[in-house]
Amino acid sequence: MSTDPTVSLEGVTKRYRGVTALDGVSFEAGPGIVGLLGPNGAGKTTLLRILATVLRPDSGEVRLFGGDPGRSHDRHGIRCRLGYLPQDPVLYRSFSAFDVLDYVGILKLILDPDERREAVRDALDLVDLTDQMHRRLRGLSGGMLQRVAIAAALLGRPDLLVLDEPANGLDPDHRMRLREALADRATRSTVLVSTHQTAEVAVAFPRVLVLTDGAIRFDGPPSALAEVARGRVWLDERKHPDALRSWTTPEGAVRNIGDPPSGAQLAEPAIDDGYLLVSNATAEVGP
Amino acid sequence: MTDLQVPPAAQLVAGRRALAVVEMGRALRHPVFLASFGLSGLLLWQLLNEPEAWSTFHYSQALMSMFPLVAGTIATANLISLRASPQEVFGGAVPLDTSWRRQAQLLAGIGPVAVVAVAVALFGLGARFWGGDSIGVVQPQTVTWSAPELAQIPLLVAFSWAFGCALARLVPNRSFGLVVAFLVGFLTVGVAWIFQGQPYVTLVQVQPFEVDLGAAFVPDRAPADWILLPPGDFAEHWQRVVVSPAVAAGHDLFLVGVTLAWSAALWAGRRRWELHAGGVVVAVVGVAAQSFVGIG
Repeated sequence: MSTDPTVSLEGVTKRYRGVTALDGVSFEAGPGIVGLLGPNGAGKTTLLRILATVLRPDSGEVRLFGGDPGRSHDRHGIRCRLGYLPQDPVLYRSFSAFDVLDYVGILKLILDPDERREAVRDALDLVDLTDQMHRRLRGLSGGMLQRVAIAAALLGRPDLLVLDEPANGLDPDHRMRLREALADRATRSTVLVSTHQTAEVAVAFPRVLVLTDGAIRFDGPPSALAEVARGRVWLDERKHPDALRSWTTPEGAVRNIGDPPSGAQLAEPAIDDGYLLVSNATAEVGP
Repeated sequence: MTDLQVPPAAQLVAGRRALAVVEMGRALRHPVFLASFGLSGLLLWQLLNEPEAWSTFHYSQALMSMFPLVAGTIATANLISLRASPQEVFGGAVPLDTSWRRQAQLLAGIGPVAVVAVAVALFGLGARFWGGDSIGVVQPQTVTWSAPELAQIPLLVAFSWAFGCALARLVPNRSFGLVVAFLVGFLTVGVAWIFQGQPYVTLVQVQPFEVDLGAAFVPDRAPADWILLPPGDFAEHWQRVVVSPAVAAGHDLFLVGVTLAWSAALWAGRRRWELHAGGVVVAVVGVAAQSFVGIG
């Protein structure tokens, strides 16, 4: 048995027509949940597509389960242990949820019909769709479709789960169920999840990566991300001209982030503050 | 050193077979295929119940009623094969990847081909049971469609399926596929008579052949087994009407070759070129066999 981390990236770079989507990304991950935060266009989807073996980097080294996804032989082995939820999953609207998952089960080489049926029911149960499983997808809501896609990614209990914004369109109850399902899987699987929701990161992910302009600016626990902003958040009556970001809180005070003026009323930092500071930084910020 | 276990080839082959069975079931229930199958049957029934507009009307026009079936089969195969597109859900990130899925979708065509083959066989038996079609004006004969002639229809469906799958691979666009399905069906089957100047290499071979006997032909001296048509609106001279199961068999071989050549698009690497070259060779042998047998 190899002791390699499930995921290992070293200096991974990807460009699209001269635009750098990923710029020398390096990190390792083993069993557990890793949240991937970053603004739109930061390179999150590109990174996840590389991890899902559907995109090749221009340079750098990617190792999944110790194998090289650039090699056909290794790629096949990796895909047997992979569950991937793309950002915009295309589902077959004329299929029922059960049929889609049964189809995906075959694609995942779960070939015994009984075993596949069992796996499909398990996955549908995880996303609370058992009672809707025979309805055609064209009759399901956006949130339900997202749950079908999540179930397809979870099908077969993969050792590596790559989920691109899985909470999109989910109501709070189902976000909670998803969180629970991922926590359960993370005891033995590596789960990489991209999200825009910092509140989600704070409660659900023990480790977070912040990606900005194609580079990782922060890698650590969510509490450390909040700590980055300690001493750099202050409340005022108006937006401060030198603040990096300012906004009015529901209580009517203005929350400023940046280098505080002397005598400023410092506030307890939240993960949002840390994220905003890190995502505007030009170099990696340590936890 | 990795702890990756690659699925054995046998498992991938079994996966392809399982997927082909699922896709076959969906193909046979697909509304486009069912509608086109039913419409072709209806057109054939209407044709056979129409009075003969000319002496070979029923016999030669029966094939044209397969236009909806060919167009519908191309469209169905195309719609099903678009599921193998890498952009589709999990398309690239599963062990049974795009190339295996394309092959499974090609193999799923066995279902529609088998259904059409059974229907055509029943039609052929019925035609024999109820009596054939009388063709010719002088020395007319009652003939029925031979097995090689009837086989042309399921082979056309096989070609249509392979073409529809290959089209999805080459241009993965639903609207484009539907337009091409209609055009190919209409041009090659709906107006197949346009291409009967080259009956060995046209996709649909319409029999009986009508062979011009020239101005010097004297009908009284014709062999007793010749079926003849006198000069008329469409022919200046006497014509011999020929039904040739042997030429039809050669044309069937040509269709098999063309189908294999199109199927090659669904494989990758060396196998693609082997299949393509094999298909071309079979098609050429089919054409050569037809030339060797000859029409008249």
